[in-house]
Amino acid sequence: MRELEAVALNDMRKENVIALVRDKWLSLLKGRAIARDEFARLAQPFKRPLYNLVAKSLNFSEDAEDVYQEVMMRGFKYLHSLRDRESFRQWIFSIAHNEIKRYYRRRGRDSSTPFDEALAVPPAGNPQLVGEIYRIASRLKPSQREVFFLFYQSEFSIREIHEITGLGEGNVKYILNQARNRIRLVLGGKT
Amino acid sequence: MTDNRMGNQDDLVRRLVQSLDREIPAATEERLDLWLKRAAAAGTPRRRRLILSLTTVAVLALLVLSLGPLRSWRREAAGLPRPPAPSGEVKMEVELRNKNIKIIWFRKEGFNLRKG
Repeated sequence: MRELEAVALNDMRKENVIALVRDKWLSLLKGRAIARDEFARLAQPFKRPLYNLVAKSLNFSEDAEDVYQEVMMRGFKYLHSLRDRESFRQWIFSIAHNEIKRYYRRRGRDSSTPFDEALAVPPAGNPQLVGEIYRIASRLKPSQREVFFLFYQSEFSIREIHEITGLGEGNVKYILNQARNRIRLVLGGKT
Repeated sequence: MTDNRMGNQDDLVRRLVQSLDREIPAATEERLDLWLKRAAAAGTPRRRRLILSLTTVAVLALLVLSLGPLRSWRREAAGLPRPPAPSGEVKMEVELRNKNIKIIWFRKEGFNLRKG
């Protein structure tokens, strides 16, 4: 009788283990789809701003597409590490900053792609002025150019740029002021 | 330069910078979507670790539960006395009421009747 009970108990345990594993597998499969949907939902409003930041920080280099793709892939891979979904924007731009930095580290110092003026022609507005501004930005160092576009393209505040790039707030202000001084010379005669 | 003038200039530069906005190339978007689908199917590194550990635990648990019946066999092989067999079916009961005695015959499970 005890043996029969023991066998029955053993079978019950086996069934419990199987049921537990089956439930976990199902929840994991469901979890994968949820993770993909959540990332797509969170990233959607920032795709274009991210692509533009990367493209402009890389002087419209063809490599911008690869760097942008890498940013999105890393974003998906490490989304689980982001506790506060509200700070997704800053988080994904931090990833973009790291990827831009990594790109320039791989290519070596002062390895910016030469600026192609033909690429800096806006569809409307003042093409000459826009061209001048992009020319000024293209002459900045890669890290300074990124700060410039984080401020003027992505509209981050100085504090947010400090948090994204790790540069001191004073340093960010200095970079922006230098760019402003150059721009003022251009704008002075043309606005 | 006053803050107000600097702010005006910043607004103007912002407008000029943003006037040159690029669309994400369709091929890049497609490549990325495809990658996301595949990556989601394969799972993130954390999920892969979770699945691997869960599978390992399940396999070990099933192994332990399956090997349970082998324990008594191993006791015999080691020369240890078998645990007492449970009592079997009750065959007959006789009660001698005047002597306050009750006799019960039962056959132990696995008892060999032809022994000796």
